[in-house]
Amino acid sequence: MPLFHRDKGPQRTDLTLFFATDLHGSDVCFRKFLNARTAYGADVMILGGDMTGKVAVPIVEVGSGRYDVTAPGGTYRVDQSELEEVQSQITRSGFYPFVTTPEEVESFRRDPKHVQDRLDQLMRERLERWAQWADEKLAGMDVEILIAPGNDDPWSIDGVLRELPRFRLVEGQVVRVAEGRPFEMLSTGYTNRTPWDTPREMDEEDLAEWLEKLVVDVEHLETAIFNIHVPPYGSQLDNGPMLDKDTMRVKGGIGQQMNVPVGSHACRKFLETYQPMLSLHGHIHESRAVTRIGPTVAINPGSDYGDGILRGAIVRLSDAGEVVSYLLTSG
Amino acid sequence: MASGGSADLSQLFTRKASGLVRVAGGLDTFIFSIGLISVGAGIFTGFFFRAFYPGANFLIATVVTGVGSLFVALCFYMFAVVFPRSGGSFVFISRTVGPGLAFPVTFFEVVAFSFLGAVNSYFIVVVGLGPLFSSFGFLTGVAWFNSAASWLSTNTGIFIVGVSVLIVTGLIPILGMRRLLWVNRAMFVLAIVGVLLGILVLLFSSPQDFMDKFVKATGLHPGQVIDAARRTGYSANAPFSWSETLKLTVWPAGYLAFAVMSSAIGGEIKAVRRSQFIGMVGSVVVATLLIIAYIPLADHVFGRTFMDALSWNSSSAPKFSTTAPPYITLLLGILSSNILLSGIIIAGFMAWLYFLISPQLVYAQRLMIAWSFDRLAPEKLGYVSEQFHSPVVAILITVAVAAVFLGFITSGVLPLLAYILGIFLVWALIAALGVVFPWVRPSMFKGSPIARYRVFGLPAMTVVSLPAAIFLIWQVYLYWLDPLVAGHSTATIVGHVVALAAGILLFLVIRAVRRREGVDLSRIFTELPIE
Repeated sequence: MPLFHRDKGPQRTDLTLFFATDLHGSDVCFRKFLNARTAYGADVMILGGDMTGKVAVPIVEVGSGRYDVTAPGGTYRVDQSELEEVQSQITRSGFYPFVTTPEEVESFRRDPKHVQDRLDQLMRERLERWAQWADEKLAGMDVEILIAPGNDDPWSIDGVLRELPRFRLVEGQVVRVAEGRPFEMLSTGYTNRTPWDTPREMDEEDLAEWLEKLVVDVEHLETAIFNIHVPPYGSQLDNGPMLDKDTMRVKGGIGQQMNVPVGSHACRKFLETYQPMLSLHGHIHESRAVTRIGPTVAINPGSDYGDGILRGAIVRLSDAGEVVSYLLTSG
Repeated sequence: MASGGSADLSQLFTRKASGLVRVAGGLDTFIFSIGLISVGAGIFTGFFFRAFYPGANFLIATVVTGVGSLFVALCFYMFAVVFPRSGGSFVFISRTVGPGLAFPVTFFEVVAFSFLGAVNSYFIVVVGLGPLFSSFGFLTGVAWFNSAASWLSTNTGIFIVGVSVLIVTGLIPILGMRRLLWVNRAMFVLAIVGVLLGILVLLFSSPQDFMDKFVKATGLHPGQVIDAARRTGYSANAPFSWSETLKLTVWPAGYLAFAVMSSAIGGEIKAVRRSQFIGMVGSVVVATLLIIAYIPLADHVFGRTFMDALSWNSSSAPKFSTTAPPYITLLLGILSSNILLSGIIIAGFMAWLYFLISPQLVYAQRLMIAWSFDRLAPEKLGYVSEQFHSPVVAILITVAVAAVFLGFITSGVLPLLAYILGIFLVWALIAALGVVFPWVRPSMFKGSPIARYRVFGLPAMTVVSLPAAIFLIWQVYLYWLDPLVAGHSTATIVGHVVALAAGILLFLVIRAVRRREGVDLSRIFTELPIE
């Protein structure tokens, strides 16, 4: 590998894409994502998987204008005057606040389907709100957001995304990212097995088979982009915290973090075999990194959605099939 | 609503999603944090160098430092809550002031932390291995141990063994994370046991016990030692002096203030803010208390004047001191009269130093790797070996730089804690930013959870950052004046200037190169608008 990767100078015909991933329901990050187009001069906007939040936060009305907020860290009481601010803070962290009653809480406890329906509703409403913002922000521009759900995203959102303006669902497809340009993008949000039994995960053998099915539709690998949510194994894009598998507790080191590779072997082998121009990954929020697997530039911009920081990657591509330049951003 | 059942309700609405791990609790965070403080080093440096501050009270100096370090840790904790979990100073400064200042500052940190790796490998030899072999020589009568201890006291011995320590510590991560975790936990147990055993040995010993053993081991009589020290300028029984006591704080500060690092790194262990707060504050308090516990015990058993005279003589009248420098580890080794006990105590103190070297070098390596991702450095810097899954280029660089610094230290070119002056200056800058942060970056501040905490109507961030900044600026002043720790010799000043200037120059060059390539580095940390 050369000491300095000499980026070629920018050409007017270069295509600039902006990729961010793992927003996990963060309104703040999505709004920033929309503004990234203008701020970074992006021609193509790609939103990686895990866009839905992990937790819904019930705010139970207990009477006399008081509410009990049951967040993952515990329950606390607020009054009417604080409600809006509390909901705003919860939303900022990507969670879904919703006001409910003690009677409805009992029905949630009795009926898991009722819980799922409420979660689906909350996710749908947020995505609809995102689409509305996107439509307002990108009005007059011929831009759509290429979007592929990740392993944490339930299947119920696919139908929602298909119907929303400005979003183009590309899961399981090979698409041209821009008209008249040679760049094809293969996308999938599936990952290898995780300890959490998420909606879109599979065994390595099955993942390998799935990827092989997708690549058949790629016409020119030299200008191909592989948008695969799970990063390749042992690539530095996949360093996750070491966990105690029984308690799911992070194993802290003494004075330093203990990280281990948790990416996919199937993904790694896939990239080594087909050697696309560029691969984009997410899934492991802490593992913000860029590496090369053979000639492929592989990027995981990481995620800090919980802190309202939009981590992303600006990548400039030439029609000749070169990654002209890349830059990891924290906007 | 009754709080019983709230956990169920929260669980009901927690989806199956990756990354939902159980966070490190207060105890885990405490262990994580205290490893960065090095209780052992805080003990042995204070006792050894006290002799050079006539009339200084080590206990008061430690308390003052503990309080100051607590504010420093709290200030950085606030920043870590406001900003992303990883990135430390680079993120704090670049988002507050700009990347143009952030890169040179973190470049300086890379240099400084590599230097600290050298300092602590120096101490492993001088405070650990030398006294260990010396004690074994006294206890067994085997001449080889004494010869080894003599050699380990020479510049050559310190350099060769110190570099070996750096190489081994730098390469341990290649064994793999699971083995590294096992090694670290074993070392932690050793560190705690060593320090506690030292306390026990002191508790069950009398001054006469020690003196008899010391005379038998070394042939030196206390009267001789103290007289020799007096003749060469030592102020025995100097009256209490506030100014000397405050000057002595530079030594415990060189370790206790590093609780800050747990905020820079600690977010990555996914500690919730509350447990990180407990762990960090707890580690500073416990470390301070452990150091304090040693002071009256050691002064009683070893005799304050005698200890100080021995230390004084190690540089001024070596014939009346021990072959291995008379750090408290050596004295404990002699006092324990038992090879196993002596070995465990000294190994425990060495373990405290081991905990510092690895994170210090790793912190420097990770900054370098981050630069390569951010296009601020050549890609090669971030190269990770596929065989070892380790950033071999960054490791080699930090170990090599640390080895060079070890050479400067052993040859007397650089004082022992030279670069801590610069580190404290950087941290003072950050603490000063913390004072005004709620006003210069109001949207960032108001959007963070700490915005709601106020003390006497002022933002808590301001309230803790102000004493932190004062403490750090004061330490910079003390370090500047004290040639034992840093001073302002040509070498110290040149070392700092070169490190900072190199960072500025590199940034300007890289920025120009990237600009020609059409890469705008200012975009890296520019905050995107929300509206």
